[in-house]
Amino acid sequence: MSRLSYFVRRTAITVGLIFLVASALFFFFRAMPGDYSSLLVQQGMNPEQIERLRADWGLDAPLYVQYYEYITNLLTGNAGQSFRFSEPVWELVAPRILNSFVLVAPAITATYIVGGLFGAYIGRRRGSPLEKSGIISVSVFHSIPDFFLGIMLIALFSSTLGIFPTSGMLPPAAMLQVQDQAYWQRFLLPEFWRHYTLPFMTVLLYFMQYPTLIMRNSVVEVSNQEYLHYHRLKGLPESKLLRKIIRHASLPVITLYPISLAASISGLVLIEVVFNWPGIGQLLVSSVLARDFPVIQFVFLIAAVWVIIGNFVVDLLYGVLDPRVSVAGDED
Amino acid sequence: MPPSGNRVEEKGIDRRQALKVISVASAAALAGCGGNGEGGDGGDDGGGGDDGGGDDDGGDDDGGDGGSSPEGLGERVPTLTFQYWSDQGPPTVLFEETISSIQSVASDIGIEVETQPMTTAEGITAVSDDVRDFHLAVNSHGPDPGRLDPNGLLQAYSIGNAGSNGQYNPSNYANTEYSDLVNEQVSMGVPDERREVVGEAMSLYSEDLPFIPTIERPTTAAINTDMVEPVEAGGAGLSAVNWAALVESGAQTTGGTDTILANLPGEFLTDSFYPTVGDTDSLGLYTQLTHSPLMLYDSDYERVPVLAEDWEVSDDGTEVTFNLRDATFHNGEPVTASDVKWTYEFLSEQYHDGPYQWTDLPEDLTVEAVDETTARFETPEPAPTLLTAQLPTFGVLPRDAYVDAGIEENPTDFEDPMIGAGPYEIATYNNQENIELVPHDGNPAFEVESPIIMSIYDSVSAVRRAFENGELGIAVTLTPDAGRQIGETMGDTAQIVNGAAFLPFGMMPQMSYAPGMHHEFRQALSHMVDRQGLNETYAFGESDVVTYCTFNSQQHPWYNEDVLTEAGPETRDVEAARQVLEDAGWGWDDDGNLYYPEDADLEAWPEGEEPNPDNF
Repeated sequence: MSRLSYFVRRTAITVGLIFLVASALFFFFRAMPGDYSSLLVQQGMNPEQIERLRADWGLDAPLYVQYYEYITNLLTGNAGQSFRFSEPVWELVAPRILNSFVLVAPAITATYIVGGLFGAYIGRRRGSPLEKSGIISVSVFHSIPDFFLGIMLIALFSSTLGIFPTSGMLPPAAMLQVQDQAYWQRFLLPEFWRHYTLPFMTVLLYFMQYPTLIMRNSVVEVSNQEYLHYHRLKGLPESKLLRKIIRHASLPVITLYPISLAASISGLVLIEVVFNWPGIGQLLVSSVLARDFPVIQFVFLIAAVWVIIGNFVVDLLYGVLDPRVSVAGDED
Repeated sequence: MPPSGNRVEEKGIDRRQALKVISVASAAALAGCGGNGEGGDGGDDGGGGDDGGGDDDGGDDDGGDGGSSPEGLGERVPTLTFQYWSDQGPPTVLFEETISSIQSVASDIGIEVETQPMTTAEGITAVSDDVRDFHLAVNSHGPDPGRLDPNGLLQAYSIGNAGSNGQYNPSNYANTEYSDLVNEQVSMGVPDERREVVGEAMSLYSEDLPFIPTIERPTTAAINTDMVEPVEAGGAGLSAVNWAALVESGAQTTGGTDTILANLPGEFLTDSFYPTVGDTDSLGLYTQLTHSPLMLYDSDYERVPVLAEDWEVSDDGTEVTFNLRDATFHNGEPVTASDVKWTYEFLSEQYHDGPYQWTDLPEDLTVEAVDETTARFETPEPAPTLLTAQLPTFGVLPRDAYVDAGIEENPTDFEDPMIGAGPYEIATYNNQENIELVPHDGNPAFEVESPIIMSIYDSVSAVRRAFENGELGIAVTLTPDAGRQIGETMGDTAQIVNGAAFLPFGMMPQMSYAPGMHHEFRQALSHMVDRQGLNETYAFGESDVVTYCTFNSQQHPWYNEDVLTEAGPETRDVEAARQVLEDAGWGWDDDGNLYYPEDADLEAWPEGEEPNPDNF
């Protein structure tokens, strides 16, 4: 199989997976009891009014009609209308996704860089006190629930030391100022970084276990391979040797990176609630409670697409990162 | 008058006798004869049969279905399932504590208790469909501002909403006499006469005990007095749905702070201030701060004039004449009788059959602009809730600004200009993020000093931490516990504002089937709950226990203790609960398990059906 045909086949599988996930989400949510209109009953809405609303929302149509409209709307970039806010889902979700991405992408990236380097470092020092304490510390941080870790950081750095604020992305007045400006303008404000530090640290500390331990194990494994003995015998300096080890040992970590990125989105829900970070997690929680299906469906779809595409990209990059990996039947 | 059990008995239904007769037959035959709610002992429908089977579950647990009941007793009372709303934030804690309160003495009564957490949507759907897999619903009526008139909740408990019809009657309470009074009061033009009829309806309701109240619903807020001047809070306190205390006290910052920073729950900042579907919570916020109505409820739940100087109601209640004060909208235009006419005639056109009973303006409402400052509301029939529910809820809108924005062409999707005549003007609005309000000096009733920025917070803990860290000057929608902790942490620099919403917490026994359909069982439950204990554990003694059966609390303008029946004691009285049951023929086996009376009916009407008004 040529690389081109592999690429085409992998792309088709990716698209198919996304379609399957979108369809599954649609049917799962329709199978759940109750919908947003149930909440309106509590407020005194009568059945005729509920039916009128359900008709407006298209919920009275046969399931296959709803499904057809859902899929065709998705294909045209229309994620539907939020029941709760009477607003296009995309307009509601897009700024929240951006806010979450701003937090999670740099934090997870930093986690993998710091954790990977730390794992490589302790992997080269097997049996040392540093290795033992390193493994214990990252394991302890990961064993604490992420929200509780956030609360501990707040207790220390906000309540006790008064260094960082407890909540939000910016102080309210500053938030109002930047909302009409380009998104990146907020990054220029020192206040943004003060608000950013604690949630960033929480994500970093919580997720650092994966890259650290995987890299450490991988380094230990690679370090015992024969080609490194050859390099040592040649007199290659330790720093260059470490670079070679890291390059070969980093594949499992790189594989895990997009998965962690996607997983952290779900893990971010509680961290966002603790820090009142205006991201997708908060919106997801409130939408689930309100049975706002279009919003929940879309957020779940985004998370799934994130994972699927992440794996797709990693698969494609594998061959580039490690020449030993080739497509089956590749002539090269 | 016990509405359900006794009424069914009067029809000559003797389910126990039927069960005794066939107790020697096969289990299948037994199940088939289980439900005979309407037709004697024939087991005429599957729904009834299913119900009977379900009721037998508890007996089956220890081998005690109909045939093995103690002498002279009926079936064993099944394990009681308490449904509660698990998504209500602080109130959910109270719901769970309420169930625990019952659970802790359940064995003394000979029953077992299990819980069924549900989202609000699921819970409402289950009650509306009369789904009989739970026996009590533990939740609360939301303190939406329009419920300061009792009509909405009175209507909710009408017989027309009971049964499996998709309509929400919180207890599936069926009482025709009550329902007739409810229908009568809604068109009574003379306030005193209406109050009397509402009192009669509440009296029946209270006697029947379809709602077992526990404690007043506390509201807790905190003010950082280094940042904001303390407020004089009335009985309503300060909450996300009630900002009256803040505007009444002038909303001033202190200590060099220039802006009041406050929190809001996420659902409050929706896309439009126009009263859109599903947006009842936020109406209180907007009418009190930005979109002043002619009159509204103040921090003591009393109606006070705002844009109106005063009003006069005709003797027959079909005309109300308002004299307007000098006021301006946020765009500088004066508030005129023409704006009043356009606003309420338009809203009547849109919402005469609207989403909520208490926001339904009369369909045939006409408003005459007598002159620039006089508006006369006319309805063919008296519409008393206009003055007590609808007009205090909807703010006056500037006609030209809203017409220009396209509201008449597309009432549900237009660019809301967000202009009112409230003491605050909207300076910045970000859906789901924050709202900035600046003082507006054209409001005739309230003079406020400082701007406010309200930001969305979805976690009480996050609000508390932000407040204690000086990031918020006002924290609303706190739990009583959070208020207590703030008080302990901040001492004198925090004013803890405790109030009470006007609808108490409680339990809704499902009266469509046993055991909730039996008055004595509801009484027993009401004696089993430790109200004082709940007040201590949930509200730290800051709330009040509710011992009379009423969906209105003492703060409610229509609360009238004279017509109410006592539901239970402040602290639990298990002996009294047992006595009530024993007096009504209930009994226990040697293991202390509770059994129905020998001739007890097990369903008030067949499952899947609606109650026949002639029988209740």
